Amino acid sequence: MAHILIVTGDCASSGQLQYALYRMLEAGYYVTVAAPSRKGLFTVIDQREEGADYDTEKRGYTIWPDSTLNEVDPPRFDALLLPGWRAAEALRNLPRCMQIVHHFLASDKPIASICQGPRILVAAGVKGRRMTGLDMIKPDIIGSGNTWVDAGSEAVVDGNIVTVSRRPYYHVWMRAFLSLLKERGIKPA
Amino acid sequence: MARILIIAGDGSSSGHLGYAVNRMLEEGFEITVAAPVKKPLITVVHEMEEGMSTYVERPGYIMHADASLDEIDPFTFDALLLPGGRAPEYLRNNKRCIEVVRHFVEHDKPIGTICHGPLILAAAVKGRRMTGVDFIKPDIIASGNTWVDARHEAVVHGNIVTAWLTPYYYVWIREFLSLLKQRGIKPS
Repeated sequence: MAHILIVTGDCASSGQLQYALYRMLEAGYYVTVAAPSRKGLFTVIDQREEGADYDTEKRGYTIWPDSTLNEVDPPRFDALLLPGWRAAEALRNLPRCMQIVHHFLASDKPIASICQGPRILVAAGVKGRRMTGLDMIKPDIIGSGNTWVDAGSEAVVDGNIVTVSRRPYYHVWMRAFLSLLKERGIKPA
Repeated sequence: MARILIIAGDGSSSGHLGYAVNRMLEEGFEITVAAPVKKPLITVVHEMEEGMSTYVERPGYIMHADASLDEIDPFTFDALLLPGGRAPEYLRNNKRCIEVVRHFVEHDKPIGTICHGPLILAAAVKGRRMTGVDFIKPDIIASGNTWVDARHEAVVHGNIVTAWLTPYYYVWIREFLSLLKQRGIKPS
């Protein structure tokens, strides 16, 4: 059975993490949520409210990881999901997180990210790819030698990497990721 | 194209409503979120916390209602989703809401609900097997329906799909989509 890894942490977007997790379970994949430590993750409700120039944060659902980043064995997984929001800012600084992402890049396995999640990809050395994400991370994408795409409500697929802008396009994100999995013969059961 | 109606309001579960909306869009259905008033809805995060015997509530995502309950014509929809949260407690007292729900019951159109959502059904149907969050068991029984301790399985009785609670969104929607497929209700 195909096995999907979700790498996340405190301050992940509640909406993105939940949609990714439950969508993979609905499709029948085996899912492991991995975080820096094994404890309830404080996810956040990230939303640009009326009159605000940037998203505000409220405390979202608590999600329990199945494993720590140190415990996961990347070769056992067929694809990687990197939900976004502020968790990505911290995760990209963890050598173990980078090691895991390197495995998926080096073995050309599907990776999908959204919002601030692509910051993890560029920290892992991704270069020369077409990508999108939250508009605020455009400098990071360009500065790292990748090409920024103003994708709006469309997913950007460049080889094994799927990126999507932000809330509310969770459905665009998962549709493109599932379609890539299908293309590559990665089936639930 | 098949059309799905989602009835929600302030106090709807952020998780249920969010998953239902995005999942129906992912499938390619046309959706309408209808609420008592067409306005941004303040959804909620319900969660058990250590030391608490019942759940706590925090504010969730603000979700947009596309239409008011008065504006919609139930005949133009093929199926109904009723997310849970605290909203069902007051929606079941809204006459127009119950009128709309009865349309789906009488026309045997698929209805999917979860958690506190069956409170709305209990105000409109009798004699069905149902589940939901454990706290509403007295309401289900008192309304002449049969309570099922379904845990992580969905309960399907005719056109009605009910599921337990967070995090079983995927159980809820998987079963609802399977019922739509069985009845030939396709995205396009």
